[in-house]
Amino acid sequence: MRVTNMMMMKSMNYNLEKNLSNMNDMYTQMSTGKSFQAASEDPVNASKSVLYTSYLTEIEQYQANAADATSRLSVTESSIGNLQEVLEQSRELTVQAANETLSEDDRLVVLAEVEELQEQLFEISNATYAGDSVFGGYNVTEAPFEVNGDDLLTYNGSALCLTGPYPETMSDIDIISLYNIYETDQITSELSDQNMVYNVGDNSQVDVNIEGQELFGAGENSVFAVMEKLRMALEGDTSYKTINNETTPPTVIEQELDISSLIEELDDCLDDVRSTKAEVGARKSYVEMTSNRLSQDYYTYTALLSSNEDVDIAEVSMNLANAEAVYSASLASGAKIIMPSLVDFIR
Amino acid sequence: MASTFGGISLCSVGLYNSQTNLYTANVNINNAGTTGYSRQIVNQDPGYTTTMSNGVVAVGINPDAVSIEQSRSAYLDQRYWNEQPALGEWETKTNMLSQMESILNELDDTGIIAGLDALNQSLETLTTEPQSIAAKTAVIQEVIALSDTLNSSSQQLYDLQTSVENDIVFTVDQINQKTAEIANLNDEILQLELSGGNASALEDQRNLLIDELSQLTDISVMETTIGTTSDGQSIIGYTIKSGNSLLVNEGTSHALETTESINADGIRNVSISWAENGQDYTPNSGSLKANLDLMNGDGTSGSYKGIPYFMNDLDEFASTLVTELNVIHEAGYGQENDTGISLFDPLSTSALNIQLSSELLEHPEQLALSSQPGEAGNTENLSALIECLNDTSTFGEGSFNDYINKLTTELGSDISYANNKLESATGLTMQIDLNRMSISGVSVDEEMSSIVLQQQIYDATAKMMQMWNEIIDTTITQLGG
Repeated sequence: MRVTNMMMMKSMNYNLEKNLSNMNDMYTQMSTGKSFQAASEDPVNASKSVLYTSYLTEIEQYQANAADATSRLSVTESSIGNLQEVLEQSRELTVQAANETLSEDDRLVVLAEVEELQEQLFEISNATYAGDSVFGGYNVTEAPFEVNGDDLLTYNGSALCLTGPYPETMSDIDIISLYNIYETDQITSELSDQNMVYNVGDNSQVDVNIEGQELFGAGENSVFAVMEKLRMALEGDTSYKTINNETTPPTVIEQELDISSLIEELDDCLDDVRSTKAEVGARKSYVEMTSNRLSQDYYTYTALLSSNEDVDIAEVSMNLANAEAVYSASLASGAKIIMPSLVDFIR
Repeated sequence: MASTFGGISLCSVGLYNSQTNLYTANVNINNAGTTGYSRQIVNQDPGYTTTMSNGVVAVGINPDAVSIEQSRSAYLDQRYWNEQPALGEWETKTNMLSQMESILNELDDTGIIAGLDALNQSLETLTTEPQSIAAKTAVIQEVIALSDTLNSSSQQLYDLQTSVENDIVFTVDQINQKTAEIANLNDEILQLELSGGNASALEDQRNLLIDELSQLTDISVMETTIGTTSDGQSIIGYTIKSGNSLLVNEGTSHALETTESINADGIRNVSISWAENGQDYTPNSGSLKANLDLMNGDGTSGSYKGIPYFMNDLDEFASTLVTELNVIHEAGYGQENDTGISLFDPLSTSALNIQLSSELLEHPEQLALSSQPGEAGNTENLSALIECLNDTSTFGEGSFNDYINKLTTELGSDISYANNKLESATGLTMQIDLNRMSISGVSVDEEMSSIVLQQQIYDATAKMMQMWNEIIDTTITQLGG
């Protein structure tokens, strides 16, 4: 084949350009540490990288959520612990009061203590976490438990123990008329439906709250009602009134008040509280477990992302050195080819 | 019997031949670097005839013993012109697709997916602190950021489409200009050669124009005899077709024109037709086809996935985002128990104009977290928004994230395909071009050796002239004396 100057020039330029662009690729890989800069360079792995990066962002957020869930559940757990203590003390006092040998003075001391415990109970029920009430369900801005103008205990504005107990001195007519006012605005169920749900993983969620009516109960067997009955009994009342709303119209029933039967009721309350506490504990350990799994996932996906897009520095530096060598060799040979022609030798 | 001064005239022809060779070598060297220049070769006949009748040597001098012609291979030219359109097409496509890729880059942290992730993250944070106005403002900011990313991506694609549109108009102008020049050159070459001139410079120019034209659109070139020179050589003209239609027919060229239109949906279209009869012209290759594909290709019924395809996908994404999230958001309740408020402006559903609703822009606290009025801690609606963002059944391709990921992967694959095509087209045309240069290119070494040779011949011929001079001198002065 006949070789001409333009030919040599053109193929030298073509090859130089190829070598230079190859070297540039190596430089870019070396300086960014990534084996591809645009999706077109490696569409499949680029798509994986985008996916892994998204996963990692998600996992980071789940980890933050899990940490939040843990601290919220811890506050809930310790509040329930306080409640448990209050009930245990009340039970002790009840056992003491049920003892026949209790003197009048002793009874008054016990009464004062029970009233003090009632105060504590009320405080616990309105406990807060970072300014939000813990047991208020979706009502986080205001204290969920309040005593309203009619001297009724309300939870999120609805009467909590409308069916009783009422003091024996209160007239039936007053009780019924009070009932009529709040009939449509009372809490009758202990079921919870205002769950604060945190996402702590793909498809794993955790309820981070316990609602007031779930923990304290509603109606005449609620923690508040039992404590009130205990107070009445210590004041010397022998009976209390409740409303039977099964009949139409509702009727007032007078119930016998006996301190020793309250021990049993307190035990029931304690059982409920302990099981709720256990539930919160279980949720906490679930979150902890999920957290561990998230850390593992984070590690796994970071490793995957890295093996997917990070370059092997040793390999790239070898390739770069090789590309540089090839480029300078082609430059050197180019200079040798282009320079001399017959012109240089005809003097 | 030989004529007395035959020797002198033989020497003058020799001197003339050497000079022609030297001139040609000089011209070749001068043009060693000229694009499109074909090496000129001196054809030389012995220039004398010998007749042996009566032992007489007759020397006839043929005036056309020396002629100059171009060194070209018509076969390689044809192959080059066949391969060039592919090079033009894939060069244009890789270039434009790469620009699209930099617009739709999801590998850095400024893309649409990064925006979705950030929005998701801000919503999750809000779940854990639904009261915080700062967390709500963060969500609003992420919605604005995501909308901005979509707006600017769509706008940039639109602008790119505009520049492609201009390229088409420009390319068609160039084609018209080149075909007109080629037709013109066909004429000039005919005239020049009829009058006995050497048209090789014009022929080079014509070939160069065809080289350039073949990048723009697919052409087939046919050589036709358009005349005969005085000494019986045929004059070659070029007839150029694209598809089945004539672009250049000897001295006439046929012009193309572009028609730009916008339909009711605001989708722009450019079509090309013949200026004379208005019939559609569809290029099969070349940069014109590449630009048309990018300009009009919406991926439907097997057409190319050009700019409209990606713009439509972004619009589809934006409108789904607006509808799906708005339905959920409008059903929820904000801090002041406002409901029915849109997250995105419900009237702006394209990627170009998607934006946060004006209510939320002014009142971030109206962000509807709650599924019920008056429940400050209720985040059920917020959870529904998060769920919707991650719902893998939103599109056939999966979630919002998956949709964009698939879109960019598709673009990436297209580019990588185009790059491969470009590489092979470059290699092939390069090889053909090298072969052409091997035949038509100037080798300085060759020309220099030719110069040295001709110089020697010239010297020798001059010496011969001197010798004849002496012989004649002897004849005249000695004999006459």
